[in-house]
Amino acid sequence: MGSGSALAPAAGGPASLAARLAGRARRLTAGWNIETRMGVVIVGVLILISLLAPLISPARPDTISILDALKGPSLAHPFGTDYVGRDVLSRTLYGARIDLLVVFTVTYIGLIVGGLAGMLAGYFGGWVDSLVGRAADSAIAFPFIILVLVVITITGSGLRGIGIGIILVGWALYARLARSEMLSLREEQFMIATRSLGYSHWRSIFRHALPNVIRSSLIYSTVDILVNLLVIAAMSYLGFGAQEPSPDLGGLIASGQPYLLNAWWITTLPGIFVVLFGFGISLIGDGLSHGDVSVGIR
Amino acid sequence: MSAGRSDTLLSVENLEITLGRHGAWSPVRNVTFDVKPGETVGIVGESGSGKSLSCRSVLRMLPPGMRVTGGRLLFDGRDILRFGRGELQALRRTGVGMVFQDPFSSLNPTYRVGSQLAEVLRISAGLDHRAARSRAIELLDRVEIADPARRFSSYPGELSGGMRQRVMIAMAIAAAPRLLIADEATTALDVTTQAQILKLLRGLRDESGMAILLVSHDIGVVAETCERIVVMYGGHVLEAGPTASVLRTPGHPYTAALLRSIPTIASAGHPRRLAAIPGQPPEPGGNLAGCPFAPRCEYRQDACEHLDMQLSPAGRDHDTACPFAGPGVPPVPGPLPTKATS
Repeated sequence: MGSGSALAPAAGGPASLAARLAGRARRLTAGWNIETRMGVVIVGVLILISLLAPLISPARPDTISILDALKGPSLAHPFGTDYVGRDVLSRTLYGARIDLLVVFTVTYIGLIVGGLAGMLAGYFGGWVDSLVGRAADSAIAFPFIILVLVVITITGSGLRGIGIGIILVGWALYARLARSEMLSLREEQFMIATRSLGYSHWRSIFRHALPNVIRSSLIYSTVDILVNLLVIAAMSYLGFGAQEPSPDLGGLIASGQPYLLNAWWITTLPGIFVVLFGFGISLIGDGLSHGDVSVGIR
Repeated sequence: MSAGRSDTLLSVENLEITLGRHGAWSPVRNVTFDVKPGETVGIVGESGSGKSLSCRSVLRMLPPGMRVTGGRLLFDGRDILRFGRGELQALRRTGVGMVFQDPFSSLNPTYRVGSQLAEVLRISAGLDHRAARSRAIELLDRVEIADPARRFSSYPGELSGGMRQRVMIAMAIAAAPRLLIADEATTALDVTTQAQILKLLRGLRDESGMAILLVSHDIGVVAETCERIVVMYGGHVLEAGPTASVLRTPGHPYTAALLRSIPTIASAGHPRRLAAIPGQPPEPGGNLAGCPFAPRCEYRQDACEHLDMQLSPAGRDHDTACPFAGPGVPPVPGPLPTKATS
């Protein structure tokens, strides 16, 4: 029995970890309202199926079969095939996978960079504030399409150029948001108290201000994700996005456009994906901004 | 901390604080007072009298744009204005504790009160996580919070204003400072809670021997808590000395007028208007020459505009900045003003 009792804590480790995670998840979701719950379910399912694309898609996204071109929905191709016979469902799943990866990366890099710059600007004021403020103004004032075109001339066509372009503009709004939050937070007595207690600036900013500043940025990011997804889709639709044969949502919609009247299925599924994703994200943003939802940052 | 050159813990000498680069306006001019170890000193004055700024300058925490442009601040005989980063941090962490006015924004809403208190103990007293936690619970118990172990895990939003102020006091005294500055610490609380907090502060002082600098616009709060009192108006100290002496035999017309305008139980039934001081406090933004109270003073003379506002004993046990009306101000009869609840 000696070995058994020695094993027991080891065996209890993962189980208690799972229990802790479940408990934590329950606490996290306890304050969520119905919009947030619905949004999280919709977005979660879409993210899950695009992550699982290699496992659940019926075919490779780039397998060409001219004989099967422009076939309507069938058992083999639930959402039909495109103009060279590639499976639309598979291409949508793979395309969504890339687009979601890019859109989340790009949005949250913007949030982190902009949030950081804005917090420092609001906290220290002075020349830091002027520097960040001017940089943010120029980023926002610059015409976005032209900026992306410039970036793409440097990086070449592809999602990378669009992504960099979005970050170059996107950080500025988070910077403004975080700065204004920080300006009012700085006058709160608990922030003044962090100074009277002799805490360092870094402790004041990152431990005490950050959780209070981040909330509005997180709420805004739900809108921003959607906007960015649409921007990526639009830029891909214009031909600046992923290049054939790699799929992405905007490119798929563009490639189906000439066949809209006789092969509606090519544009439908990617379209539905974008709309559903947007709907889900908006629900989350709505739910969070109603204010009675804990964002779970403690 | 060194033993110090004097028996004075905090010495403020001719402090002047100026807003703006070109000395456009000095909200604090020529402020002088001392705090001895273990002593409770009260600063009374209305909004804008410079009392809070004077206290903030002790921790070098003036609002942006304001600077100390004259005088000296000595803590334990050492000049605070010449402190480097490290010395200033040590002063803030272990030398002086500070409690603020508004209990509703004085704690970070995103952290449990216990973890905020334990954080102070880790940073300032150098305790490890476990020791900080148990010490934090002890401190919550010391500031008379019921069920401290459970309250440790509460968020500030779950506590009442009085309880939050107690937590704030616990944070301020966590590192056993030698001076506690309570800047309007009881102002936002109801009268009953206010009396409890003042009693708590007195208890903490008697127990630890720390000095307290109590800032208030409520002369009753100061009267029942402080051994000495400093009366400020328009950025100047008008009168300073032992509480009983200042309140019984005020040497400055402003102090006398303040005391007359406190309603008493005896006056409650009478259909008499509450005594008030005519006129308005000085507008922020401009400094008048001489005595700031002169425009509202019933003993006003031409020379008031040229007073240098130095404190001098005016034939009493304490100092006043008014050389004229002093002996003419009638002593205030009856008991000292105190809060009705004490």
